[in-house]
Amino acid sequence: MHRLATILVGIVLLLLESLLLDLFGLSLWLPHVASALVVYIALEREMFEGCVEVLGLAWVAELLSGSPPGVYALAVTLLFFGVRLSAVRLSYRAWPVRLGLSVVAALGLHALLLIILLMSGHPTSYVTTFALAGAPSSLAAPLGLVVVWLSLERLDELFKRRKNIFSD
Amino acid sequence: MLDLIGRYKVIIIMVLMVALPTLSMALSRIVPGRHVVDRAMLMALAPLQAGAHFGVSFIEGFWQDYIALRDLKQENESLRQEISRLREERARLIGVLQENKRLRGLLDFQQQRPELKLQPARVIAREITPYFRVLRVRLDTGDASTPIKPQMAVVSHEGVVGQVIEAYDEYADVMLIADPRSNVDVIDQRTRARGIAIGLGHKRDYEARLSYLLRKDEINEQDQLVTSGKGGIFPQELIVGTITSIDSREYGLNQQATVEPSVDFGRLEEVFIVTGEETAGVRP
Repeated sequence: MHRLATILVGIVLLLLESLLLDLFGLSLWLPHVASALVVYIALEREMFEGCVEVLGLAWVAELLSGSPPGVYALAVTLLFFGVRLSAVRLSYRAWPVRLGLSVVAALGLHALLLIILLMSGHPTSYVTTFALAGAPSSLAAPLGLVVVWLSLERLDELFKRRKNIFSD
Repeated sequence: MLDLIGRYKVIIIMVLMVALPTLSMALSRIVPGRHVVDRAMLMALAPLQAGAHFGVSFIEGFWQDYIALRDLKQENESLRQEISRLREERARLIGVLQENKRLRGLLDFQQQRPELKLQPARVIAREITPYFRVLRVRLDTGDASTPIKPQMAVVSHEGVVGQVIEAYDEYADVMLIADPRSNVDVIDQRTRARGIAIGLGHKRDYEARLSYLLRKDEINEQDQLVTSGKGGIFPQELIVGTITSIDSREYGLNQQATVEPSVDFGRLEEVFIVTGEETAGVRP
């Protein structure tokens, strides 16, 4: 139930992002909700639980991203593993570090997308898109992370409280 | 079997996470487009997106059509006030420019006739009957040493205006040369022919009649008339007007002409009252 709720909240946030992009065309102020979701799940969930949630969210994110089948989902998945691996060595408890990680994660997602696209035979013009739009927009990722983190943390608290009530 | 899956569930899901997108990418090369599950999910998401878009568009529209219009109304009102203020300012500036031009003319006149002691005054009212041609003026600066008296000449930079007929405190009534009561001794500037300019008191104009002009005197239309200095009111060589038509009769001693005053009385706003003259023939 908790996993499903996380995926649903993630879907709502992803929909909200697509809506904001549609209405305001936030080309360089992209909140990068997908990478923020991945960061939160990678740092706050156990491995299996996180994998299930990312699997679901990566799929929805891909459907909303307009990418060719599999490309975005694969990039999100690889990003999840990357963040998870980095968390073994690094501590992300402090907010400035988390915010910095969100920028790196967004940049990493763009880089992974570019690599996958180029490896799967897509045009090299994506390099220009990455350089002019994708990479610079990563600087706005902390905005998305704050929203995602606060939303999912509240959700987690809700489920934790509920679990305590039932265990009592 | 379930135990095995349970034991390796993390590895299985990790493999699935990478395998499913990769498989999807590979399949899309063989069969272009989304598969059934993707299409189903898209069909589920699309109404949500459409609903959210509709909701936000509605709020946006409401904002633009109502809330923003309120601002627009205020802005409109503000712009109206601004236009009104600018119009007023423009009118005031035009007035200042015109006044500047008039005052410059008066200054030039004062410089041209340094022998005249001039008291500036401002027109504040005009006659309310058609019978008399009188202006009411207010002195611009009080000058106790030379009080304003009746029969003082009143001039402007364009020429002779008239004479003071009443004076009280800082105000004075000025009878124009177009008033039927006015008689000004004038001479033709070109031929030096002498006559008397008498106001006609016409309702629609400020014309005067040139009388007591000898038949033998040569005058032409467009000749300029100036004051002769005789008569004890007007100093010499002040422009009175221009001859516009001549009534030359074959009998009698005199001829007559119509004179158009050089001063545009309809637009007169500033005048000088001649309070004295430094050379011979002072007319206090």
